[in-house]
Amino acid sequence: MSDRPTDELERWLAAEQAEAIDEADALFAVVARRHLPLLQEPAGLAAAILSSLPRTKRSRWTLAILSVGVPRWARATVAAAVAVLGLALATLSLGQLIEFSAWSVEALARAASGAVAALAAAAGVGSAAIALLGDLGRAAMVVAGSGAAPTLIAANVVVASLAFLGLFRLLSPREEFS
Amino acid sequence: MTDAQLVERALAGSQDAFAALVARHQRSVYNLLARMLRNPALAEELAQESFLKAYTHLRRFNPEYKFANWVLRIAHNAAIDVLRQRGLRMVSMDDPDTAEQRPIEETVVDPRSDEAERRLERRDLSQVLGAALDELRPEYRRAVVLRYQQDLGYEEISAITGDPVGTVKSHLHRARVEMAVFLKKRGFVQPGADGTRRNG
Repeated sequence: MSDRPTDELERWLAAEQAEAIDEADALFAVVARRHLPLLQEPAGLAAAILSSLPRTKRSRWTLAILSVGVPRWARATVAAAVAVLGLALATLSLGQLIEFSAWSVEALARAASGAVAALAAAAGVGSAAIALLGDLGRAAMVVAGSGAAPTLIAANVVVASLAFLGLFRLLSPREEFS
Repeated sequence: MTDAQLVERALAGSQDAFAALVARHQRSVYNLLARMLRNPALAEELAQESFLKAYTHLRRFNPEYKFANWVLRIAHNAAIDVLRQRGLRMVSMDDPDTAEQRPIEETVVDPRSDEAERRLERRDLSQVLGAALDELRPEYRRAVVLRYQQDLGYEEISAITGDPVGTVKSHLHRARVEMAVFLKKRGFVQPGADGTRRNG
């Protein structure tokens, strides 16, 4: 191979011109190998990469928890609240602490009983709704079996349309007189 | 030690093994990013992110695939995301100003000698080839980098870029033609030496 860099360049260009694609590919590879070196990475890149790696799986998990998208002010507020609570608890005497604990347990019991009552009420409403839906279903089956269904549906549509129009007029803003 | 063995050790918790992988592939990754983005600072940042991503997703790495290609693919996808998100101001990676940073031995040869002339020719050719590469469309540029700087096959380039093999070949052909035109415009070829047709 000649020592003149432009010789191999010229051979590649000639191959390109002759549309000898495979030859041009191989000759350009020679040109690139000699005259198009890889760009050198900045000094310290490897060190920067390695220092950015999480140390352990545990620390990765912790970082994931801490990086939850909560605004800084919210985190600061929570942190301040925890700090104030900690200080308040630290100033309590043992008797006050026991009293506070007893009060807390009582409050917790009350909250639990309230939650149970709410759940029971919700269950009652749910069962009543299911019973009502069942009745409606049975009524629908009776109506469908009687042959009067189309008439009833048409009547319902008319009533609903009238109700809609009435409500629309009632609720629409009044026109200003000029 | 092979890349696959280093990956195994890194998965077992050895950061030294991962450090060896970084040392082995950082230049390829940085080069691809810098050539694609033409922004050295951004390329450095994305190289860092790419290796971090490779580390955190190392369990998903398929050992049948080459680690080098896998990490290049991560870097390539990161660069594509950035190119889509930002309108980047592109600077040449082969700016003549950077010639001042070249090794001093290139400047201490007797300027009247043939060797000095050849060195100057080589240096100029490297600069002009780099500039020609920078002028290419991003998809041509990445194909040239992966084919001629990383010595990858068409299928491997296809796996990294997501382009079909035919498209990769076509990009490479057009890229070489555009680079040839660039070199000719800068008078890099003696008239008649390349056997090319001339207009007029």
